[in-house]
Amino acid sequence: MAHALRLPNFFGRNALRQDQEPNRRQWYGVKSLQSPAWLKETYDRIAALEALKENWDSYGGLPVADDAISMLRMLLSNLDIEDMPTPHVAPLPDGGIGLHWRVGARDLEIEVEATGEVLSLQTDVGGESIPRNVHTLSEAQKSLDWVLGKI
Amino acid sequence: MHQTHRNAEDIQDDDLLLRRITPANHTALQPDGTRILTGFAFRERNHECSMYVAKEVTHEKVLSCGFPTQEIVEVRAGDVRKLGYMIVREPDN
Repeated sequence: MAHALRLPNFFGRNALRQDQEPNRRQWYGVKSLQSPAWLKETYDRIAALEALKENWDSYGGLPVADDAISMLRMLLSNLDIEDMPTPHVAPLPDGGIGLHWRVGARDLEIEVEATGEVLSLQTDVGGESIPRNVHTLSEAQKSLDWVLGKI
Repeated sequence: MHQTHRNAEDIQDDDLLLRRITPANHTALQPDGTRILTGFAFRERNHECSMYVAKEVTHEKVLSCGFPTQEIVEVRAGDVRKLGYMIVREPDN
């Protein structure tokens, strides 16, 4: 039996509104149809984390929260990160997600908490750690530029 | 939850503490093929980090409380204290 193809109604009452909270938007900007391989790998890893159940770490860790996934996807979709190395992607026990890069002597951790709050931790190997709250995309971009040695 | 937060003075700085990790989540593969332990391995929900005193338990016992994919890392108690953390005993339940 043939079924009619259902297309989403973008103009009806389900249409996306501009004033939705950023971490609840369904659609994010796409920079290029040719995304770098590391970004696809990272998205795949994030998707895999969605399957984690409570106590995944044997210490009572919570499943990864939807708000953390949404915020991380939004971040990755909007930053200038074409030439980044692949980050290590890890679940956090409170339902957040962490990204870790080590480039030369620099370590960067970006954590997206279960609430969608974003934090970064910059560490020179053998040196000082600088924790920061990340409130804007440009602050996140600055952290990435730092780990790449651009600043 | 700890009833009291009293520094466990009987745990010496040279004592080793054990913690289970999940390598796929807690170690990062480097371009040269080696793996490094990330700080995510020492996170728990309540901002504390559960560990075992190595001289009081076997690796087998520690692993038996976790999952087959998990491994053990060792940390010196003195290094934990140097980072500003207090080591507190919690009765084994």
